[in-house]
Amino acid sequence: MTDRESRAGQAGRKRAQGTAIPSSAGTGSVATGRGELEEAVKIILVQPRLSLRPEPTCRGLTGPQLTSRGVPGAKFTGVEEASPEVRDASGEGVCHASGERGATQKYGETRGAEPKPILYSYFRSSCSWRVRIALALKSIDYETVPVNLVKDGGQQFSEEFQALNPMKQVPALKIDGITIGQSLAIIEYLEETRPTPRLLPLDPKKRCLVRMISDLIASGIQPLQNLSVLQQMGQENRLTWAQKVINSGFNALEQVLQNTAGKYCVGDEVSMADLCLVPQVANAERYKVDLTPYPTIRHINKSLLALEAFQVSHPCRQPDTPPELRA
Amino acid sequence: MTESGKPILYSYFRSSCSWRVRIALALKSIDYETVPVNLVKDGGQQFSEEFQALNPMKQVPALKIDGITIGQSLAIIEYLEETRPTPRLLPLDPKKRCLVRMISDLIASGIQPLQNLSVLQQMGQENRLTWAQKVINSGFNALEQVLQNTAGKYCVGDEVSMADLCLVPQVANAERYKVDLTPYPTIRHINKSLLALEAFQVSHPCRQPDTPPELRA
Repeated sequence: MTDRESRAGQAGRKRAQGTAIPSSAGTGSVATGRGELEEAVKIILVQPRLSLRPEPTCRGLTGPQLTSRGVPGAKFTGVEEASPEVRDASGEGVCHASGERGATQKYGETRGAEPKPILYSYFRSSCSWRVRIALALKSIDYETVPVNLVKDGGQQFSEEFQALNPMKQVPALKIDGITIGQSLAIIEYLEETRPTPRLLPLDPKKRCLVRMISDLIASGIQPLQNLSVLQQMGQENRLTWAQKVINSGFNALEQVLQNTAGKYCVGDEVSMADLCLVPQVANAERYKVDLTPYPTIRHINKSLLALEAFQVSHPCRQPDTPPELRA
Repeated sequence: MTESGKPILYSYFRSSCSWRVRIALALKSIDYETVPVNLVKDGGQQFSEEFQALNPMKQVPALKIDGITIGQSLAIIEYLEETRPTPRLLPLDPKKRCLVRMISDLIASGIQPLQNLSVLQQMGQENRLTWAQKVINSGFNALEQVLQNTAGKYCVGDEVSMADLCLVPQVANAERYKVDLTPYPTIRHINKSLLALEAFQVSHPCRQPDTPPELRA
């Protein structure tokens, strides 16, 4: 896949600014108002990022951990955000993880008027991965704000994140002045506003199949083995439950795919259904599901993982991937 | 399709997912036939070989229309929207469409599957009510906050949308599981407005071909 130009450099956009960061110690400090940052004891303030300064990327094995957070006091939908300054809790300078695998800001180049979209994501969240793939396929440059679903009792439960996304879940995407949750709603929005390359076929019947397969996974499997559900049951029951749920869903999915698949889930073009499949297979592997009974699923998964967008967005390559899991 | 060419809806009277599609069909004035699938009787008729051949997901609703059979209520509704576009169930504006889908998914992925019959059957009888209430309360908590930003007369602004088709059946589930709806005034208010509309009445679980006599309106 050839690199595509980032959309971030278009003329006339507002100067892009960064996002504020949370207390790295998880004190759960909450911003008191729009544009304000509550002083948390352990945050070290550094010089705000200037629009003309080239952005270091920190996607690799070295570099400061991205620790930015959501916009304090931001409304959930429909309100144009003020963009606060960037901070970095490590004190080592500003760092932004970009999902863009190729194009970076040139030295001295003025940023466009629009800020980059911000994705609230957890490296291992399959729902977040779906959106990361979509952003990569559509060559949409974005910033990642990691939300650790386990640490600090789950950073998604902070008052601050809840103000941003009342569903207290990742992914959430701040784009075009709104903040949206639910991975498939986000992907359909990206499809409607950044239509190339397509993630949904043109034909209504094929679109229906894509949505049906996506929903089979996104409603029928993933929620039932979501962290929040597994935490409701005893530790000793979790693996069995997750395996049961995934096997049940994959049983149905395998049959459906035998009728719909070409090279990918629906015919020979990558679609939203494929964005759901790969992360779900990763979950299946994580829960030690035997994938032997699902040859079509395995075959499609393998083909998709060879594509660059599925690689750059992979959990092992995210800003918040722990060192021991990093590719 | 039947000999008459009408679409066929495989439905269970009390299935909230089936109800969503029934509302859509009613709103779009699409005449259809119902084939009831009893999810409890005979060990669950959705598990029959015959139904599984029709819908490998072994779930209702499924809709046979235009030569295809499709499952997943929201995929069905989006197909109806694209092929029978009036009246609209999704706004024209992409941001508003996104809100409609987000709310629909909050319910259809975030709440309903967790209190679905097949999940409840995995746990002891004594745990089911508590589990269902917990799941619904958690979801309605989030939904109430979202709706406070998006709602007009209905879930998103003042036009009935796919989000409303998801809301009403989920409120019915909440009532069935004795969830206290006092903390959710926006949800209650929208639900009440929607239930006054004819499409939500004709599609109601109490008025279906397979509604048991004791539950019939």
